[in-house]
Parts: sequence; structure tokens; C-alpha cells
Amino acid sequence: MTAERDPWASQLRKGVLELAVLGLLADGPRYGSALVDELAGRPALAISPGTVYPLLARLAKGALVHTTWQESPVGPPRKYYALTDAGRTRLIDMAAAYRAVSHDLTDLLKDLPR
Amino acid sequence: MTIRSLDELSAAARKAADEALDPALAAAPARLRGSLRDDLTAHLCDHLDADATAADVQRIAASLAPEGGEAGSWLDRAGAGFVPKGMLGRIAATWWNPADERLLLPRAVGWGWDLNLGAVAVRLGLIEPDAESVPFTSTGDSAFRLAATLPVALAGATALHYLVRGRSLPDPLPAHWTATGRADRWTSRRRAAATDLTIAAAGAGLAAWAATTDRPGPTRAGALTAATMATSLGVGVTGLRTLGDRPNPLATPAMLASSMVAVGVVLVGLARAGREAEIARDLPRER
Repeated sequence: MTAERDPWASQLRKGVLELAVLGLLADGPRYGSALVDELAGRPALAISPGTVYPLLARLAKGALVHTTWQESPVGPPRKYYALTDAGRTRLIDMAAAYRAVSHDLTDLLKDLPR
Repeated sequence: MTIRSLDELSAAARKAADEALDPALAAAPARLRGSLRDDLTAHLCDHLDADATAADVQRIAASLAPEGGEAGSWLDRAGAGFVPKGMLGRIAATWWNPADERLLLPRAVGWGWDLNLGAVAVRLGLIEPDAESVPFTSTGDSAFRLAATLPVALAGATALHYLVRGRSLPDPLPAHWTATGRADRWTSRRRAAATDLTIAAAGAGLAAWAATTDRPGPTRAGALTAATMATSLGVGVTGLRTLGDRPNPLATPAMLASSMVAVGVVLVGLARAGREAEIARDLPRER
């Protein structure tokens, strides 16, 4: 089974998606399709817009991001997402938890062939 | 020494164990609950001895809840909080969920699926998936009033039909049709008119309420969805009755499709009004 079709790999991607999106937004505000495109540029994190947009709505509802419409130089206005202070704190906490899990798993799997 | 069965616990501790297992199992899919109960029971047995108190059981059981303590799928949780309470709000949330790319969503009321017209609109390029932070919450009163004119007009068309043509219609009129569009059950003209006019009046009343109430936007949008569907289907049935016993296999699909289009027009209009309101809030001077 390929990684793309493996349900476990798909769940893993979904599990870290919030961290990935908050991480991208830490670099600066982005609009929805830009986030989708940037995730698509990283094959291990590529996920459908249908998963990203509900997550963005949930982050906005939880006040982890705030949204503003901004004019676009090439078309209609776009809705931009930016981290709030609460979102930045959440990102730091999530990154710490992720690094701890990653460290232990890397150690656990170090003898497996790649 | 650990125990081999929960039966070795005191009555109070056993009761606490049962009370702890039930919510932990409720979060699991039904097909897994049997084996999960065995696993969780074994976990409790491994960590308790026969002298364990109810408090000991509760302390161990606290670790049994699913990670995160939430039931349902990841996507369920992603949408949590966005499904407004109440039937009308649920109707709006399933018929209009542009952030979800699925065309069919579990029905707001009853079994089956509703067509997610929000996903259809996104695919047609009529609106962005995230155009509104929460659908219909920014939509203004004037948009709701304008949207209500469609179901009211459809109800008026039904009333006008019976007012103008009522006495010249044949008696009886069709009341049910087969899959091939042939009428197979009939009812009196008076009863047919009463049924169609009742549906029209109910739909128009619901639309008028949605246009004037101060309830939340999703509730108003749900009411207009139901009103538009009811009145457009009412117009369709009224039209089908005029066909008499002439079979028309395309009539029923055409009626359903046109009702979907009518609801879609209403929801797209409301959502675009909400989008424009958000843009006006954020870009008041530039536009």
C-alpha cells in the first residue's frame, strides 16, 4: 500500500495538520488557497482543501487565528488568516509536544531499515 | 495482588468500574465495543486489587478516556461548534457547508443525505470555501428579506393558479405518480387544492418569519431553505396535477431539480451577501 493510500498515513497527516497550518502562519498571514498550495508542496503534508478549510474555520472559532479580507492585486479580495497571541502560544505548546513524540519515536525506530 | 475479574471488587468499587467503562466505550465504534470492553476490563484488573475502593477505581479509570476525551471522528471534531443547535440551523449547515468538499452530507433531519449546495457552489466558482467565517452570520436583514420573496412568490403562484383556474380543473386530480410519471392515485379537486394551498401558506409563513425574526442567521437561512423547498415542490405538484393522466417520465426529476436550483439560488444569494458584509467590514474605505 502506498503512503498516499495508507489510511494510517492519512490519519497521521490529519493529526499534525493543525500544527503544520499554525507553523505556516507563524511565518506570516496567508489566504486559504495559499495554505493549501504550500501544504501540497510538501508531499508528506499534502492534504485536500476539504480538510484544510474546516480546520481553518475551527481555528478561527477557537480564536487561534483571526481573519481579514484584503485586496488582491490579481483578482477579488482574499480572506487572510493570521496567528493570534493564543494561536502562537498554542503553536509553541504543540511544537514542544510534537518534538517530544518525534524524539522518542525516532529513537524507538532507529534500528529499522529506511 | 491484582484481581482476575471485576467481580472480586467490593460492590461500591464494582459500581464505580461499570460507571467508568460506559462513557469510555461510548466513544468507540459499536463494532469495537465488545473487544474494547474486554481490554479495558483487563487494564482495570491489572491495576486494582481486591481491597480497591471506588476512589481507586475512579483514579485508574480516569486514564481510560480516549486521547483528547472527545468522541467522533477527526472531521466531526473539526466541525464541532459550527453546527448550530436546532433543526433549522442544522438544515442550513448540511445544505450549505462550502468548507466541506463532500457533495452529500448526512441529513439534518431523518436518514439519508442532503445535497451540500455549498460544495456545488464552490465547484461552480460562485463562492470561496471560506467566504464566510460562519455561514450566514454576517448576512444582513435586507438579504434575508430579499431571499424570502422567492418562496412567497412561489406560494403566490400556487394560490393564483387555483384562484384563476380552480373551477375549470378536472375533478378528480392526480395525487400520486409512478416512477414513469403516470398518475396511479387520484383525489378530489377540493382536497388537492386544500393540500397545495396549505403547503404554500406554510412555506410563505415560514419565509415571512425568516425575513423578520431576529434569530441567528443560520436559523433564518435554514427556514428559508425549508420554505423554498416546500413552495417550489408545491408549485411542481400543482403543475403535475394539471397534466392529468398523461404520463411524463421527466416531470418528477425536473420538479426535484428545479426545487434544488431554487434553494441553491437562495443560499448562494445569502452567502454572497454575508461575504460582501465581511469584506465591507474589513475593507470599508477601499471599496
